[in-house]
Amino acid sequence: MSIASGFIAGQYYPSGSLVHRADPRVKLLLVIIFVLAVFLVKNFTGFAIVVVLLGLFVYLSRLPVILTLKGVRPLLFVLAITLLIHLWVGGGLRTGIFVDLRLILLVVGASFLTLTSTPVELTDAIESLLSPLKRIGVPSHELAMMMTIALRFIPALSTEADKIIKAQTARGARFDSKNPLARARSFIPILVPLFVSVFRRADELAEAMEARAYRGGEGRTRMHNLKMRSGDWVSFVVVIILLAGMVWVGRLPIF
Amino acid sequence: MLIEMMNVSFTYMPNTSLEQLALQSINLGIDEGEFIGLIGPTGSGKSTLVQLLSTLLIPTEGKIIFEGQEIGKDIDPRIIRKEVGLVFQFPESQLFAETVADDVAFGPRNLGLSEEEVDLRVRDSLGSVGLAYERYADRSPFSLSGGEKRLVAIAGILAMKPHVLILDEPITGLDYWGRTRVLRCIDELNRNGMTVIIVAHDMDEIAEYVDRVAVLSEGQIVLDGRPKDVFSQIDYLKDIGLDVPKTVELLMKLRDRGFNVTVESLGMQPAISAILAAVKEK
Ligand SMILES: Nc1ncnc2c1ncn2[C@@H]1O[C@H](COP(=O)(O)OP(=O)(O)OP(=O)(O)O)[C@@H](O)[C@H]1O
Ligand SMILES: [Mg+2]
Repeated sequence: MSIASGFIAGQYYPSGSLVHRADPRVKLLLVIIFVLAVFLVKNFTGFAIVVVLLGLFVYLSRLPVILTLKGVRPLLFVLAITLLIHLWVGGGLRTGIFVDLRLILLVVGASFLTLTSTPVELTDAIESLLSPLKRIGVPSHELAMMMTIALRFIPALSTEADKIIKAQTARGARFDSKNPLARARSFIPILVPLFVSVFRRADELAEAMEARAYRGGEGRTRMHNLKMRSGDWVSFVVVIILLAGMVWVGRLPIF
Repeated sequence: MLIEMMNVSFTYMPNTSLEQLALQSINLGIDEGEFIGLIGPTGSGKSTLVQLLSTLLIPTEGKIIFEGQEIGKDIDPRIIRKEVGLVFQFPESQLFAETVADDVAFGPRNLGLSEEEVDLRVRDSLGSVGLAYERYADRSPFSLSGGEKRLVAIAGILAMKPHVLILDEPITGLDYWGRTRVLRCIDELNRNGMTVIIVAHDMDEIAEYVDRVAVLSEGQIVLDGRPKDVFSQIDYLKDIGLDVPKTVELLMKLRDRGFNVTVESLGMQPAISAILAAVKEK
């Protein structure tokens, strides 16, 4: 078993590094800017710099490299298709490779974010960043709460799915039929109980929240208040400068 | 020996930061026709152990021998799964079909039996758990009560006619009648030669049925023997966080006070007779 096998791609990996302790709003904004910056890069030198920068961040956050790459695996098929289409339909090898590189870096950037910040930190960050929009009617608290709940449900559901698969296997179910129709049918005994349990859980959670007098964001105080420290400001500025440099090099008319 | 676990250890998610040692150096032999109770506090590894026995999990260390053949080496785990039926903890969460009869038929159909044979087995197994075929067969499993769902799920495993039946906390959360019905049914199957392993939290109910009790604590088997021998270690059992049957506790207390009671049988009725006899004697 490899280190990554027990992990879902992008699941929080606690290592207590500098990056982990940084303000999640900074991380979120920087990742968004990073992704935009990657789309502006137009030469291989630029992409080389992107990779070096990413490597530096991964090193600083003390993550196992394989974990940051794990999210790319399910994409391999899409990547191959993109490349082929570019070769066939025109656009050429160069653009094909660029599109693939951008996709890979996008996924790695996103999993970097979720590997170094807990789901709660992330949703707090989103809520805080969206809160200026409250005035024009964007329900930032509700959006954040929905995200928290969705994220919170993922591990619970994967455990539940695991259990149901085992239970049906014990009843002789098999999921490896050659016939695609039979194979699709073989998932019914898993999906039905899973949906039943999702709806049940959703009901229970809603009731539990109401029982504790949850009534949305109005007037709610929070347990952890996000607070920018001087280190956060400094790293924000430094990374912005690095990204700006990267984009500048990335748009020079060189290879 | 029917099944033998030799030095079996199991770790969830090995080599990650979430690594969790669930079982450690388990040695356990199970004989043909035995009725074994497996008890232990929450998180002691009971569910892990029974999933290893039914080959849904593979030991990280050690080996499991089934009728002299090592599972995974001499014999395919899929063959074992036909021989060993496992009723999961909260099995009602695995129901999926439109009718009770269809759900119970899922296992036997997967075995590739003919429709007549499947139908026969569905009737049989619903009967054994005490659900009348005529009343329940066409109902949706989702419209049943929690206890009825549990019974349907158990029937679903029985319909596969396993050689060894393992039940993970089958009676937790059932009322007195539900429990008695399930236990009587299992007892009957055991009398007809089926090997049965039953996991339980609450010792009260299974004490009078099983021939042998194995106690798990923190991933290890700490006691293994005849029920009355195991339950006589009241203090130790309480130490590791287990309740002893109330009858045993009462008899032990009476004996400590100088009453001449024998802690031979664990049922309610024998206990009453023993107490009456002892009181008359005084
Ligand atoms: N899927 C899993 N992933 C990681 N750890 C697990 C998993 N399942 C169980 N464990 C851990 O293994 C240990 C043994 O769990 P197990 O489910 O076998 O206990 P149990 O005796 O059946 O408990 P209970 O009485 O609550 O059913 C526990 O510490 C538990 O946290
Ligand atoms: Mg359990």
